[in-house]
Amino acid sequence: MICTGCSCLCEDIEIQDSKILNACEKGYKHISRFKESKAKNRVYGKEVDLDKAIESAVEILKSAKSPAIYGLDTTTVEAQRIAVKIAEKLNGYIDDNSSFCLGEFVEAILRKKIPSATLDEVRDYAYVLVYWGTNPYHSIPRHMSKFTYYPRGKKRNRGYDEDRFLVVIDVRRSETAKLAKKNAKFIKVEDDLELVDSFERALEGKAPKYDVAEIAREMKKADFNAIFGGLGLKYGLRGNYEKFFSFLNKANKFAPLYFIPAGFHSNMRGFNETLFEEVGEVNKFSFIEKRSDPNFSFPELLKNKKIDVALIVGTDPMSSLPFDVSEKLYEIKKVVLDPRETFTAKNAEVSISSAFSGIECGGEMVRSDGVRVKLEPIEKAEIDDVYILRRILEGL
Amino acid sequence: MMRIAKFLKFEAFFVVARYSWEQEKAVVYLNPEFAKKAGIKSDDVVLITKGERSLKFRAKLLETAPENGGLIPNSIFANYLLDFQNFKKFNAYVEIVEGEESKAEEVIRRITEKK
Repeated sequence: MICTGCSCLCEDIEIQDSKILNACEKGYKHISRFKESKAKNRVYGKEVDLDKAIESAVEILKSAKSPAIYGLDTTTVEAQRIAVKIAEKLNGYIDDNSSFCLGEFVEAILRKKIPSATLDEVRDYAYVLVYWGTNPYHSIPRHMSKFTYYPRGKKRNRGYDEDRFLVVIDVRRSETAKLAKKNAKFIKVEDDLELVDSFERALEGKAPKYDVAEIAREMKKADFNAIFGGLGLKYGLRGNYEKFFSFLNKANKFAPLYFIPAGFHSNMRGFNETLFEEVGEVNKFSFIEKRSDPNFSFPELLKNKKIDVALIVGTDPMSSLPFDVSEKLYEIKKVVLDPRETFTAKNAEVSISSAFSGIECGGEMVRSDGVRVKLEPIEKAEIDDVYILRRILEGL
Repeated sequence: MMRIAKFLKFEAFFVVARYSWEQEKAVVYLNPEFAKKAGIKSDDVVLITKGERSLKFRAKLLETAPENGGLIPNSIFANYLLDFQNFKKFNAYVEIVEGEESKAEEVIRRITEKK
């Protein structure tokens, strides 16, 4: 089966005699606990059957003056497509976690502003591997062993201590940073923008502020290098994405350097690609204004009191958004579709129990590098996000 | 024996990160050197205060935590303290307190009571 515990979407998970094989700790928990704390169908706190829950969801959405659809990063591409149709039908907003996660990077890749590659290409060809503002040890635990640092590839067949050069950039000496020993470098970053400057200067042969000259030399030796950027990089850039994109493109004049976003929900990239195909934007989109805008991100819509109803799919914003946003979320009506009894589901006007994508239902997801995979569920639930969203769309 | 550290409050640097092992409880992983300086031991309950908000966390020691503070797993507890201006890292005060670590239900209550 394919693990949907994170954006690696590891395809080599096996279930033998109820044992889960090959999964990392995160994936193991994701798969083994799927039957725990299942959501219930509820309307205003009272348990109801599915039909009643869907009917109430439709009523609330129909009566909304300004609705938003949010989440969708753990569901399938098929469900995401229906959700986009619902947002269009409602003349509402649609957004996912990528608006405060790595959406800017995925957008730059889809618009071909920066060069990217697949993880399979990284495994076969990459020499310098830069983990910037991410700690795969915890966030994407098999990234290094399955795709990047440890495996031997077509052109990289002599093992990691000879055929890879590992760079870890972080504000602390993380577990990943501790691996940076032989043929490797750890950079403790205080200012990511200054570090970008340093890389540019080093590649041009000038003296950099940060000690990155050796990394620049190693990059120039190779015909394939990769940066995996996480949330530490995103927030470290303080909104200056263009500066980073410009650096990536300048760097490619000296040595091939590809960027792959690292560490997000299983199908966040799928959402970005689905919306991009439908409307030409990756997130924070308004169907009334027919455009994307920072003010249309779900947190901003809540903070500015621009929405009165939210259809939330497969995410728990009451738990995952900052307090000043989650308290605003509590003030509006919420329809929640989730397999799990989340805090948001418990506090929603309507909660609809769904299925775990990849475990209880199939469909398509998109890996962090853009590779599409077909899920292979171990059970087949009758009720999943596609079924529920389709019925909501029909009801509207 | 009286612990002087119980009367002290320290400014610390916190990183919020995905952490596989503990996201359902209010746990802060302090750098051992920082914890020693602040007189905090493993399993102490500490109050972390950022601006007007504070929560109680169970302290654990972790070598990979930032040198001058600690790591809080990405969780409802971390998100209660932070905002988008300080989404992955922030400065806050930490002090030893009595009692147990805060529960998720307590955070939810604070969210819902504001309505």
